[in-house]
Amino acid sequence: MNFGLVSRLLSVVLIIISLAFTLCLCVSIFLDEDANQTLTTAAFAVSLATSLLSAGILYWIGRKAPQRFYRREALSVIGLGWILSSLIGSIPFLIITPHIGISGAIFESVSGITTTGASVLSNLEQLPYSILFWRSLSQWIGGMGVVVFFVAILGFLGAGAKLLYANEASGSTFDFEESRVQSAILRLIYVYLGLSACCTIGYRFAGMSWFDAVCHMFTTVATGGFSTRTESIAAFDSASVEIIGIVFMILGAISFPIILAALNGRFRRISTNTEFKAFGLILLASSTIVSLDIAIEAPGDDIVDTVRASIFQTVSILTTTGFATEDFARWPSLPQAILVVLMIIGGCSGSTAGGIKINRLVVALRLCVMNIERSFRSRVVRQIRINNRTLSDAATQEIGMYLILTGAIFLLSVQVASVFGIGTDMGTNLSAVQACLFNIGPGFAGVGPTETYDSFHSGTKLFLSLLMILGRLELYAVLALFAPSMWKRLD
Amino acid sequence: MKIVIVGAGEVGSHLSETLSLDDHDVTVIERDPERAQTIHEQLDVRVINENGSSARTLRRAGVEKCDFFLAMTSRDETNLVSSSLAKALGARTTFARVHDATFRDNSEINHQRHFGIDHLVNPEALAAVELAKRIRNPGRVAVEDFGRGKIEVQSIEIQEGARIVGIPLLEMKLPGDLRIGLIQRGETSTVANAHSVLQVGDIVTLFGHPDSLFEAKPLFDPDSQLSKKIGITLLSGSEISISLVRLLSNSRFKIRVIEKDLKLCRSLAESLPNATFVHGEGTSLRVLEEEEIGSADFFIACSKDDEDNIMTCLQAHKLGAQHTMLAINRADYIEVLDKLSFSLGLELAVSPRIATANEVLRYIGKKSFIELEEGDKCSTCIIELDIGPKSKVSGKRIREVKWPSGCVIVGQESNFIPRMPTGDDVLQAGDSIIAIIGKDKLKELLKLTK
Repeated sequence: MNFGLVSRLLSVVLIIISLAFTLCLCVSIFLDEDANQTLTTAAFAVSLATSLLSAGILYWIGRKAPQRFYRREALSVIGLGWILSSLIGSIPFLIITPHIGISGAIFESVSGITTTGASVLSNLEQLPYSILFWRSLSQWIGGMGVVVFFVAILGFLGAGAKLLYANEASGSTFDFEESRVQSAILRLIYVYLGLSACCTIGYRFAGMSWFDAVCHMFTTVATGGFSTRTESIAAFDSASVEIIGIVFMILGAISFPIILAALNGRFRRISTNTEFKAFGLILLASSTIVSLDIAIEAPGDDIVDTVRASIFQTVSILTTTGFATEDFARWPSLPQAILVVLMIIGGCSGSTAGGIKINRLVVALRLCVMNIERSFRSRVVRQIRINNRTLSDAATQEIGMYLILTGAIFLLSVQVASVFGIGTDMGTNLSAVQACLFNIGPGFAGVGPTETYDSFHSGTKLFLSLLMILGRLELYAVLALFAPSMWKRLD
Repeated sequence: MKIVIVGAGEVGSHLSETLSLDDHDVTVIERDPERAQTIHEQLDVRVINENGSSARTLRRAGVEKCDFFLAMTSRDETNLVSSSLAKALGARTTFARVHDATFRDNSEINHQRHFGIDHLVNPEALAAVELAKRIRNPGRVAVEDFGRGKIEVQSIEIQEGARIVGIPLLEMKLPGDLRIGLIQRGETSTVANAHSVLQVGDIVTLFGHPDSLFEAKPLFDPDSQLSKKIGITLLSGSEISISLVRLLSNSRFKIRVIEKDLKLCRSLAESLPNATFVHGEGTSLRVLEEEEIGSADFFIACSKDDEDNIMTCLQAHKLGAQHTMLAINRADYIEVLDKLSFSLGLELAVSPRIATANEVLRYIGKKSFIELEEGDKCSTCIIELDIGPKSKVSGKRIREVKWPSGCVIVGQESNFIPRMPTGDDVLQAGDSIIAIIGKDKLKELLKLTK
């Protein structure tokens, strides 16, 4: 393991976090009310100083490192980078909202950076602007990925950039149309920036203030789900805000290379993209069923309002954003059951969304169909194809293993979360684990959209934080950190 | 630069690595999924896992906008088809790796023009050129060659008693089409012209066919021996061996080839009558002893198996062969062999892959001309440049052109055949010429040929 280079790259991760802190510092100086200003300014100054100092130390450790960069290094940079930035990111919460405690601060910070959107904070309206801004900004950084942001700039990484991108952004670099991986990633970043700009303007024209528009843009395109209001999007009670939200949540959950292809006018690539079509189909089917069921079960309500709320909620959950315009924890059981499934599915690969990703679902379904057919027709030979490409046996096996591993972790986590679960019921634990592992945020029962995660034991909060990072990095980058052979010298 | 490479074998992957590290935009087309995966993980290149001779794939790879198209698979036909298609789709310069000598035989049809391929490269032949250079000039370090070994450059110091001292070049009778390019006298060097007179102690740079160069040596250095035969033993009748035997066709080379396949021995003996073929397992000590390898001047192991090559070279060195050289296919081995070459007694390790990469890299420069050799102290350089379609010199005889002062044309490649030009030769657009020129006059020459 090339510890020096890992350390140097971690310092770059911290530089990105420092830049974000600098923005927050500006917000605290210019926007915060006088009563809070000293505290918030001090808080972000301390955070910035800590982050820069750590970056300096890490850079110094790795200053002479050779530039050998393989899988081990990539996985540890990503795993450690996310843990480190979550820890550093919790400093502002520790100082400005001390009542949530250390575990609460870490939970909030992780929830931000992993774009989960689960919160331990209530009464958001009373918090200073700067901390709300940091909550949202952290989701925007986490949406694209802390590492992806610098991968495009560091020229020496070469093919290492592919490893970093593939492990952090869950996208395949095989479909890139650029010959240099770094210029391809740079284009994706431009897409992200473009979406962000459009989204901000959209929200502003839909009636939000500039501050709200920027903060909600951060959490919409990143499919994060933090809001500046306790009631989330419901607080604005505006159809146009919701429509803008729906559009950009969907865009955020579509594979970025596909958006890029659309912008370049290559619609053939889109029409042959299985994942995109499946995403559309799932979205359409689920929102129709949810609307119909609610309309039938509550015939008195205005039909337009019902449809609006149903679509918004379905999109918000499928894209793993977690905005709420309605307390879906109080919905009838069929729509709830659908939402539970959508939470697991998530968005497309190579997007900012969480979940198990639609391409894996499609492959898994095809594998199932193939195996059923094979049970009575053992000689048949079929290839698993997705996005116009044939998957190798190793790739399909990997997807199968990933799903099994996710299932195992899910079940095991429910047990662990229940260890300290005095006072919380089974349904709440189950839903909390699901909402964190798949990066959604709000769940059902005790963690519904109107509730917070504050009531959990601090041990559970830390465990849920780990689950969020596991989910965001698709397991391996974090699990590898716990594998002893990753750190041993190969003798 | 945008470069598309077909085939990620040893040659293709080595080229992709070198070029991508040089900050070129590289796209690799490879049909085998496993190889595609490997190269995708290891290099910063775009990989397309499809058939390289399909026009659709080529279009996807963006050949219409690419500067260089390199077809480097191990199959000649695939390379010819894909580079021909690429040229038709709009690739600027195409290279095809071709082993079969029939595609180089332009007597019936000009294959390069027919397929629209700008350069044919043969890794094995290039490796053989490297080996032949060292055999012809033992001990010399830098010998440059152009036109795939057809034109060689050598520097010779004029010794006491040389017959050509004191005669102007105009009246000098040199064998073959030999040209004298540079004359270095003391610290200064000048470009030779018809009235230059040579003195003892001058160092002259000669251009010409390797055999003419050898024949001319006694004119400059009376002590050099012409008559001595050189015994060369080759391990295995591989493509490198065959190319080497062809290159060393001069009768002063006595060549023996040890090959274990009897059928191959027979067919080679038929097509290469000037070499002796020995049927036997070259790795066995007994065969080597029976063939008295110890008395050979050169032992060259060029079988396809790297490990066999290394071991038999060590054997030959131990048995007493004067110079041992070998061909190495896996580029991974080159570095360690270079380091150990002295203690193992290996004089030269040549890799067809690296030779190909170097040949291709010669062309993939940023300049419109290629600098072949640069004198450090002197103000002259040797350059290879192409004659543009609208150039003033095209269609004229060399003697009719008003060349910049101090410029000598020492080589010409017309219709893909390299040779030594005379004043009566006609220059045509698309030809490439090799010229010696003062650096200050370079711009004038570039303007003239553009």
